[in-house]
Amino acid sequence: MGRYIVQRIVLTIPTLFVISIISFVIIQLPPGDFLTAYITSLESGGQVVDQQLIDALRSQYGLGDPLHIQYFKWISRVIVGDFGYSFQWQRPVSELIGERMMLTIILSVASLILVWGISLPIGIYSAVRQYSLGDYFFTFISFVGLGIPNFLLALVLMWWAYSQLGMSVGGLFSAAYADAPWSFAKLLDFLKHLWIPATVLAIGGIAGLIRIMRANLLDELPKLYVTTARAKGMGERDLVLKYPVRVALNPFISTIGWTLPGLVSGSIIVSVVLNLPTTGPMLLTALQSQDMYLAGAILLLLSILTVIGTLISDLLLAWLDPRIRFG
Amino acid sequence: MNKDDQSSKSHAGMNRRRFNALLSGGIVGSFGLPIFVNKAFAQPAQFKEAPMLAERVANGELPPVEERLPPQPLVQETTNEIGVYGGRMFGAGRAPETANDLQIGQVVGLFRYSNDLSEIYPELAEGYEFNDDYTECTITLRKGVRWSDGKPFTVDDIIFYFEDWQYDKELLPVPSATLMAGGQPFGIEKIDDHTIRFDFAQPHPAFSIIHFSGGPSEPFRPAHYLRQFHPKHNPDAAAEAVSAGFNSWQNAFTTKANAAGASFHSGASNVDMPVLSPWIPTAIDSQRQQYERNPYYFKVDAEGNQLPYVDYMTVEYATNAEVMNLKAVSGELSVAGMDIQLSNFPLIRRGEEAGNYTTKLVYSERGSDVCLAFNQIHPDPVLGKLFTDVRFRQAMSLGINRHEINELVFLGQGTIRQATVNESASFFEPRWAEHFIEHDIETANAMLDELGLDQRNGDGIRLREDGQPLVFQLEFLPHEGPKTEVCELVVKHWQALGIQAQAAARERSYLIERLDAQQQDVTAWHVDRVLERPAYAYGMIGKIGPGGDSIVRYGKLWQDWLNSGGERGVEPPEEVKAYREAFLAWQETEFGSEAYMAAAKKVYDLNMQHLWVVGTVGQSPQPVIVRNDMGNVFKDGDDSRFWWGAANWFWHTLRPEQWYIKA
Repeated sequence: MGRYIVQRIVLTIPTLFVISIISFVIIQLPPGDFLTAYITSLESGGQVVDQQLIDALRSQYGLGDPLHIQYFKWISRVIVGDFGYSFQWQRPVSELIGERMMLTIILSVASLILVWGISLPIGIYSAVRQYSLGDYFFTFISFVGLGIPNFLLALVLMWWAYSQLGMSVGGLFSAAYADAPWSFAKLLDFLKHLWIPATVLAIGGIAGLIRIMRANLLDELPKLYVTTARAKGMGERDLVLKYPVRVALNPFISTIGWTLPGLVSGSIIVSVVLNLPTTGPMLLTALQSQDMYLAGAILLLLSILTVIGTLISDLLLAWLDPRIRFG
Repeated sequence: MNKDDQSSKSHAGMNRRRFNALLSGGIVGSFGLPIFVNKAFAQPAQFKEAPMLAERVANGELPPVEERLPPQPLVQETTNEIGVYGGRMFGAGRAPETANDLQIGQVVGLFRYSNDLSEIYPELAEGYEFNDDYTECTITLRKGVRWSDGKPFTVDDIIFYFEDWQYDKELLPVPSATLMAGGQPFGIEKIDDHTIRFDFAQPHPAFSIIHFSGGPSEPFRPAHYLRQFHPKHNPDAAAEAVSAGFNSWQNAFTTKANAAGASFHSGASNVDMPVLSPWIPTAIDSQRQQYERNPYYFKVDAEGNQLPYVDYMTVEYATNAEVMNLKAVSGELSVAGMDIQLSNFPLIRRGEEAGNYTTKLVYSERGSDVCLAFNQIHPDPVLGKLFTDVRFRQAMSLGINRHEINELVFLGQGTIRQATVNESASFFEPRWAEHFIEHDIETANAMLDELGLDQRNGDGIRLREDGQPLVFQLEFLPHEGPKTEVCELVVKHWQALGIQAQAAARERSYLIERLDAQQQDVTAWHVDRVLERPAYAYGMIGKIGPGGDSIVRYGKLWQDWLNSGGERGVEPPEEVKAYREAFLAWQETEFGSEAYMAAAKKVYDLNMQHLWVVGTVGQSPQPVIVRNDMGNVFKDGDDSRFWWGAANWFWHTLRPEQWYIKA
């Protein structure tokens, strides 16, 4: 087991190296670069943007070099923890990402707790009481939840919160608390704002996981080991929770690996609609304006999180499901 | 009583055109004097300051207010009443690099426009003087103005801007056209610390520093701070830039030299650079900008209170327009205008009471809120031949139902007009705006038939001369106003003429790439910089100028040819050369003179005649939300004002330093 973990971690390094090359190339694929947008802003400021000026700017920004040189310059700085300078924000990339990371994590964890806390019990209920009135009810609700696009729900909830509750919307804080140091009042203000994005992000996930849990559990319930346990007189409640549910949890655990990168990018559309200060919208604008060091850093971060997440998933699965063996 | 008051008073019961005609009279009339004298406001005997500064003076952190102000501070005319100190204003912006409602108050000018745009009055400068043949201009600076770190503001800061930045070939190999006359950089001479003389290679009354003052690219920077980033003054600058993570010293220098609202990159990006503006940027992160009052700001009110009144400002970024609108209607923003859409007007009015704000409609300065430019150098020879035929463009213009666009998209409040100069210009002629704007399908069809497009296929689509159906795309960026809605209507109108036009929203850099390669069919954007002074000072860079600019780019290769003196690009036809000559000739006439009027008429006659850019609806009103606890934002009883001139890339003043928060 220990050897397996070390092996996995060592393998991570070449994986990340390849991923970093791919993400750097992908960022460069669309036509144009940061300068195409910058030049329009120069022009609107009254500059004649002559080819000579464009060439000079290209070399000033290091965009004139061939791709592999640009990559090499970037990656050799990244190794020592310097992610470069964002063209669009004109600030160090590490600072920009750092500012938004904490809130991104809080938001994602909040919605994850909401998703699991609601979908697990309902999924179990729906499976155990298959075709009951309650099962139909939750099935109906979850299909509606799956069907509504997240961004639409966000818009509707935002409008409702403004018009019915008189709440200020957009962002995670009221203007008065945005820069205040943390206090109890600020925490309350934060929680007041948190529920909308957390709900929006959770609803799609809840609906999906209810269906997965229900289906998996339904597969497990008729199996012989359940019948055996029941025949031996084990209480129904303990029986279901201890064995079939544990097995049915498999997909939850194996998707943890995707939850970590989801922290960063999963909620882009909702975050844009709700104006949340998370990393998602930043990745989007960085890609749009071809701010390559910022976009590259976020993509690299996503990859690292995916690799780590998958490792965690594998270890948890091993613990959860005795049938899985290493080596 | 000053002219400002008169024009606003006489405006009562007058329609807009008459009002503008009156203003234009004012523009010409006010230009008899070549040099400005400070308006005779009584100098207050004693100066007062904000409590937060008094505290810092008491603690010994700041010199007393008399030492921070110039000996003759600028006494600002009172908008409505004397305000009170304190408070924080809230605003929202789209992104760090775009202008926003509060940031625009940050731009300080050597000169400033009056609110009605009829006059230029002195700010950081005390006056200017041209010589008789307009080959020299001497500017005198106000004495004793200080940067926000307390260092004096002098002619050296202007010289630094030109010599070490704009004319430094390593930073900008080609200086901006607005900083050249007759293709040559200005000659610059320091007379003394407060007097500077510019020499021009040819008569240059359209000197951009005068006629374009108060824009985000003001011609000065704090030399004492920025010299450390320039290798000419600091031999280690290049090495320091690279170790700080920049690609080059040029990159570092430009980044450092960009300040709040005072650069091409209008976002505040460097909190360390001293400023001259009412507020100093204190903190910038990826979500908002913070500002605090500038203790050295050089203006006082009529009672000697140092301005500004408001202590702090916060500008938050809103990634999406809906959030911006909701923030405004829920009363979170002190003032909001730039990003509020007219289509939301009913919603905005309904929210007034709950949000505790008042809405005001002011005019947009855009000559056309959505305009259409036909690619004049199209790679497809058949389409190219059509697009370069003025009759085709005229027919397309007649095919557009502008009335429907105005009713459906602009709530009937815009002006149906061709893409031309704003009607406030002193030389404005209605025929420019009325040229081919009627909706006349019959004539349009006849003109298209005459162009050889009289064959149609089974679906009723007109066939080109090579027998293919006539198909093209109207490409647009779905930003800054109702581009999507208008383009979809225009395409529908064109389809009724038997043309298979399609509206295609594009991503910005993709569209720019296409425009650079001159591969687009027809693009839609807006026509701005068509107010009198920017159009004059900008010369041929304006959007309806030869070849267009940025996204209204109908002849990029012509521009390359014209800019490079024929070395690159494609030689433009005679009418384009004539158009450019007309622009340049206009710049050599004295502002407001008879020659000026004649030259301007020639420019806009040519523009009308060739119709490279087709207009739809322009000068539409802009809702501006002002929270009820804000004082002095608009002058009471005056209902005809322009909002921020961001649309024209020059920032005229509503004097935000006089805004205050009512107790």
